[in-house]
Amino acid sequence: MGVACPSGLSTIGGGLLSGAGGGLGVTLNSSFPITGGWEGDENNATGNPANITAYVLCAN
Amino acid sequence: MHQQAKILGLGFVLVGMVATGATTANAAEATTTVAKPAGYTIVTATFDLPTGGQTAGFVACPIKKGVRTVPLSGGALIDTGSLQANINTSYPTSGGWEVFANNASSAASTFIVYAVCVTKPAGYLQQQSKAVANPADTQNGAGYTCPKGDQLTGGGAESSSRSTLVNLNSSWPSGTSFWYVYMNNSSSAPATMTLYHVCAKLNVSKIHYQLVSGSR
Repeated sequence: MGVACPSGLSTIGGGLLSGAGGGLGVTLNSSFPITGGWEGDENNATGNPANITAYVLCAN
Repeated sequence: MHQQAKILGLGFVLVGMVATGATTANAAEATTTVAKPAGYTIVTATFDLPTGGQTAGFVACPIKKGVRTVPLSGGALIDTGSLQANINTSYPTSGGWEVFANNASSAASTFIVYAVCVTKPAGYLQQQSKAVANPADTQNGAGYTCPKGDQLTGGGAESSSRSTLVNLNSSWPSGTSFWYVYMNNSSSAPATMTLYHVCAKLNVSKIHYQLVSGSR
């Protein structure tokens, strides 16, 4: 999953949140800007599902 | 069951939005022109990521018109699906972005460091917090707020530990002036983390600036 800037705006920042922290078994594998959005990747070695929220700061 | 929650390349979602001095935008708008901040560039550098350790990578913002541009934000992409590869540290420097990547797996990989760079905007400010405790076998969270009236552009954290058992869980803009981090310390040794944010005095009465989020 990634998150996109509204049309006409550029990515200036962003990041990832694993829901409720997720515990020590949830780790940030990747978090990086792309043109017009932000993408990322979380590892989950807990055996339990966790949700992820991606954020992007946009501006022109 | 172990799984890696891949959120790369599965398409975009546009769910939540916090706007500061901005008009509402949505995915249905048919704007073909993307206005960029002055000197805007996303730069990358690729590094080998050997097994069994932690590797540093740095990407510099380019020089434009004789002046080095400055980082608004940055991050990293680790090119492996292993659950044992993750980011230990990701933070701004004066001229770029620095990352320490862990690889505790048995396979070598690579990682890419990213920085979003622009011509230095008004009120540009990089700050780092005092060291925050990150005790052994603990996940610790902390936030760092921009000065009043500033807008957040990016942030991150630096761990004092070079152990592959210390890594970021989450690092994100929790609002338009507040960066927050959860750091895992699965090692048996105490560590500390230092938070970073990048802020600027953006003229939000004249430009669009907003935070967008999407969950799954």
